[in-house]
Amino acid sequence: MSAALNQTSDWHPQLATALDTLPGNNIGWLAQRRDKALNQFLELGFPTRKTEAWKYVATHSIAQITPVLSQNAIIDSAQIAQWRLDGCDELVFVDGIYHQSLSSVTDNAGLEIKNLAELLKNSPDETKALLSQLDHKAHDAFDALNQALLRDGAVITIADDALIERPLHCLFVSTNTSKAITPINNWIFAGKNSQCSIVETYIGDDESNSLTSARTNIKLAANSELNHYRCQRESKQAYHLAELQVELARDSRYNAYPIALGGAIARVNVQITLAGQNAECTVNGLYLTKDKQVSDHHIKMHHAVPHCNSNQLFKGVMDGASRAIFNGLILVDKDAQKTQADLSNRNLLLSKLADINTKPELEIYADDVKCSHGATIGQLDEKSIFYLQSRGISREQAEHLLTYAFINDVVNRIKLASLRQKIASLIIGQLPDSEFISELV
Amino acid sequence: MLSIKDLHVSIDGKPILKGINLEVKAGEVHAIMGPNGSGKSTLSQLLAGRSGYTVDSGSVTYKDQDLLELAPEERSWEGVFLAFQYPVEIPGVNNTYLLRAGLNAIRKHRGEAEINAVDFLKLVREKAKLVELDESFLSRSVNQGFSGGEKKRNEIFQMAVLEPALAILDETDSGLDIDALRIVAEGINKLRNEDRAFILITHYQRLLDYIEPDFVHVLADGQIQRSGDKSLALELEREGYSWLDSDTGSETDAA
Ligand SMILES: Nc1ncnc2c1ncn2[C@@H]1O[C@H](COP(=O)(O)OP(=O)(O)O)[C@@H](O)[C@H]1O
Ligand SMILES: [Mg+2]
Repeated sequence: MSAALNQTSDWHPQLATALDTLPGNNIGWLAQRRDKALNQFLELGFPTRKTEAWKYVATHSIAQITPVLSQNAIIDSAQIAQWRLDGCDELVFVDGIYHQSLSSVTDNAGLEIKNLAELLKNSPDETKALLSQLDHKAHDAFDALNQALLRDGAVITIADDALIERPLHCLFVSTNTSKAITPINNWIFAGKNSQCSIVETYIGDDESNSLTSARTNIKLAANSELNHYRCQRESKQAYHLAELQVELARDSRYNAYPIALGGAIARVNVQITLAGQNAECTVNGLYLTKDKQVSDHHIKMHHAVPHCNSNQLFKGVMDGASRAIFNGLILVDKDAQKTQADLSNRNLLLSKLADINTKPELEIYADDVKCSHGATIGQLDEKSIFYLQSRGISREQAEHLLTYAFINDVVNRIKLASLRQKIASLIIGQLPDSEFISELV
Repeated sequence: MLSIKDLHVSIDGKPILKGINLEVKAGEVHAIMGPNGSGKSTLSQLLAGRSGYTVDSGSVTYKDQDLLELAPEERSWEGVFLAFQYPVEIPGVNNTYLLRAGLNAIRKHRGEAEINAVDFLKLVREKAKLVELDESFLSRSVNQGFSGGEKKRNEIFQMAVLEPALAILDETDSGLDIDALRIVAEGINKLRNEDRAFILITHYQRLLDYIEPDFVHVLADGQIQRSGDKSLALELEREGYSWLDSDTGSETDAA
């Protein structure tokens, strides 16, 4: 293409203006923090295809975004009714900004739910201390951009010993149609011996075309358990760049369900650190792409101490001229003896033009570990199609049914029933023969 | 009902069936026996419509239609049923729901209304009992985690629900213990009637102690070498297939 590649510096004037409008910019540490991140953004420059982690994603289209912040939009409760989850407390963010009137939070002993903008306004010093518990250095320009535009998000603290029965649903709605940027920053702190389920859902109006830049930082204290669902179904024009950073203390259990369905380009970068002995992590991921969608998962499972387990399954189905990238690294430090780590990535290509680049990797410095990794790329199984046909099912229906069955294996692992049903019907609804399929699974 | 005439079939250029002739009438039970690799599964899968086979010459007529022109699902709608030698596991697809969809597709083809949920459940329970298939299997994924014997019983169960006109059973008796064999055989016997034909492919004479065939055919090297009544099966039991070697050998030489 002849269009010159954007430089991060092209964005500088507009971003500087945006920063000035951010709430709390009169707070010294916050302004400094944002400025520092902005400088990092300028220094790092947009990743190119030479950047290994971005090798297969054309970032120049993301760079066509307008470097302004999405503004507070008004939406009607009916607009998001279909995305609500029964039996959950709900926090609703519209274009990255918390909407109390759309949210409903019951008094949940042991669960402290705040939104970042309000925290920064009311208790900046405590917020600084809170955020500093889980800090990191931006690893690329988009991550730095997210940090520079720190604005709002959910800040969730689960008290020690709290067993939270009612799941919490954080619903992020994109409505922006002027290619703006929507920054989101979430923090989840799971206290000692606590248990909780949290759902993050990112959805978008059909017309929305913004860049959602969403980072979630999670810290699990000793012996805590967190089920964390992350469902992304933004519009086909939207960009979605997500960062997920998780740290597990000893004996803690983290179960993640990253599900990516939408976006023109959707990227999820996950860094999980097993930092305390006997910590356990399972990840059940799913990505579905069609048309010209690009879906990119980069996962780093870092075993830093001995006696931890991790178990990851990612399934992908690619149709049309879409493309998926999967890069899963299991890193085992020298001291992390007795590590058990599995990673499996299974892909189904439904069309000749669809594509998958998968690269599971092991980097192991300990000598007494059990690790396995594998990736498969396949088409639908002819034997299964024939078997179904021989029972009276047409070939087309058999293909659609088997596609769903492949996906369903992951969907069925979602423990939260209301979410499982929602995801199932959402996915089935996207497939041809949806009515037929829903009768057979 | 079924008429196979001088059927020659090859896979990737390699001849597998080399001139099969077989006439099956409604109400008849035909046993086809033969050594491993003789083409029994090829014949049965070809009849059910599996792709990947090249018909070099010959014809298959079923109920006055060219069977080879029909898609596998159309054959099923027309009453052809294959009990697979190796039933396929299909995780995520419910065993009973699949049957209901299959049955309704068949009924639709016949211009009948869909079966209602209550009647279907009754039917399924009744047929599961026929093959002593525990009801817990009804709600599981198709064949997933079933033992070998359970898979075979599931095939017969499906057959009982779909009520085909022509049932082809490819080594349904293989790998079954004597109790399971008896259950499967009784299930088949109960489904015998004057409108329905069976092709029983088997490796062991043992099955025929329970199911009395009208005809026994010996398939070897892609041809039916001998046909007879059930006494032929007993002869095979005594003498094995060794007598075939010389025959097929000379035949190959001649060809
Ligand atoms: N898909 C296939 N590709 C190549 N050869 C095949 C295939 N299926 C069967 N054959 C060959 O055809 C012959 C007959 O096989 P089969 O019909 O399975 O025999 P049987 O069921 O009598 O044991 C064997 O030599 C077998 O190797
Ligand atoms: Mg066979």
